[in-house]
Amino acid sequence: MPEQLTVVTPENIELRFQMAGLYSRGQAQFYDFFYQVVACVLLHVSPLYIGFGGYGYSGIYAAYSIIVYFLLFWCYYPIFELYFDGQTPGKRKLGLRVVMADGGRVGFAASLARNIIRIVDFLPVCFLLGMASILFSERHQRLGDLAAGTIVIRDAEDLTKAPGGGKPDEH
Amino acid sequence: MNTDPATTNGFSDCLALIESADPASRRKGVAQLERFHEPRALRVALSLSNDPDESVRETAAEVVATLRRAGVSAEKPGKAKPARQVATDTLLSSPEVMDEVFFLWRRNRKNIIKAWLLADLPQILICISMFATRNLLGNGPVSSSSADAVLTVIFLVVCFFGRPFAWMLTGRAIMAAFPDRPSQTVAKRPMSALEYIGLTQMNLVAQLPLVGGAALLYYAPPFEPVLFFVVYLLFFLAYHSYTCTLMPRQLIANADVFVVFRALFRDGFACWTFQRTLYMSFLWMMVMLYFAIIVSGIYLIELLNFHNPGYIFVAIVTLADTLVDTFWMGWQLTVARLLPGDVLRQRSA
Repeated sequence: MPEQLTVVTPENIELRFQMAGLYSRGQAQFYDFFYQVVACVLLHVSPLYIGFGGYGYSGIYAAYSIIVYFLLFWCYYPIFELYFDGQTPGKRKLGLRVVMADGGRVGFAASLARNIIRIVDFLPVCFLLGMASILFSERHQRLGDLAAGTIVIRDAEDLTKAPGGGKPDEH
Repeated sequence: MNTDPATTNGFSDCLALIESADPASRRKGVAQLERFHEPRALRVALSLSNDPDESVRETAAEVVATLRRAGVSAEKPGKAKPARQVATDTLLSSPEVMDEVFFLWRRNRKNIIKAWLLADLPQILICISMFATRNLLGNGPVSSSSADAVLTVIFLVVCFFGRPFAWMLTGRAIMAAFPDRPSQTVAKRPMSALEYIGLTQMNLVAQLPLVGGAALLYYAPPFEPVLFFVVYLLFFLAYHSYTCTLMPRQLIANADVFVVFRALFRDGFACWTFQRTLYMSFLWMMVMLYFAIIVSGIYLIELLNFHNPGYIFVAIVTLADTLVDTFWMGWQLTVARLLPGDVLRQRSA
């Protein structure tokens, strides 16, 4: 039975979210890391093919590389979370979404906070601290989520359809 | 109005609410449906998912989702789907099965941790003693070969006689995290010597070929070591993915070992295919967890400048194995419960 989080809105409407577990979050993180590496390589190599390579490893190229790394490392998650409704490409692949703990859309400050603290979650290595936090926190939150007040949920699907994609049960 | 599922007229009262003219009462009635884990409740909720009232429609959709997750089907009992299909429909994908393992762990974590500490105490003590005696082993008063021999004996004892005990304790604690009654019955069943013997026999079948192959690979590979390693790896994956549900089957069924074997062979290839599908996710998870723990360990070795890093590395791998033990057991139990084995259903019902 998947775990659910129930949020009651001020209008007394009950919203239910299916929480994302450690495994799917880990796998989404892996995909995102992979995409970041691919983007990093492409952005690193592409200038060499568009004439920028004449600079070789000059100061400009080094500065360009630093900016690329910085943007990919710090902006990848907030940009996707803000402009793609809480979904990075990895999360989208796994059907996950970042939302505020009250079910609302994730905001700039929250996204920034959860992604700055990602570096703490990474400690000592390989997100060991983040994993422990997800396992023990009440709403499956890593430290970044706890600081930002966000949760990661599974995208809602139309469960009124019969399992296996068939027609609804006859009655 | 009485809508208690335990009472006979609870459901009809609930229907009366739904059939009333007041929209608030109707919504309340629909919401009450989710308390009835019965096909009739699901059928009513399904019919209301096309209701003209939007809030009733939405509530009905939620009720349908909740009932489906609880394994309720609207089909007649005669046409009931196999347990595996219901389970795989409820848990839609391999990542969800893996997530479920962590959810299970969380649900009963206190008892699982207690059981784990007791059952895996020998392994934890081995790790601690290896850290404590790292300067004595190999280059101190204890020679490398005698240390190897002691460690091998401890490993064999833990592997063949400690595992059944761990299954009896930790396996029960994990079973208690499943909400259904058969699982609760298994979790509360008194332990017995016969159960231990059954699990030990099953453990021998599951482990002996793998441990034997590893020993052969390490001490005397019969042909080219690299080639033998590849052959062993393939054998390991095939045999392990086929037999990984033997221990949970035995724990749940607590039947004669041969009965459980027969069930395994009868399920045969279809069962194996199903297990292998989930096995890949499991391998991913194991790689993820082991990698995190072992890399942390290696950093620790470098940071603290430990002598005898070989032994420390073995200690860290053992520690990693111990730490992921409950998740590994949880996964095996979850997969075993998704299988269509008659033994599981007959004996645990």
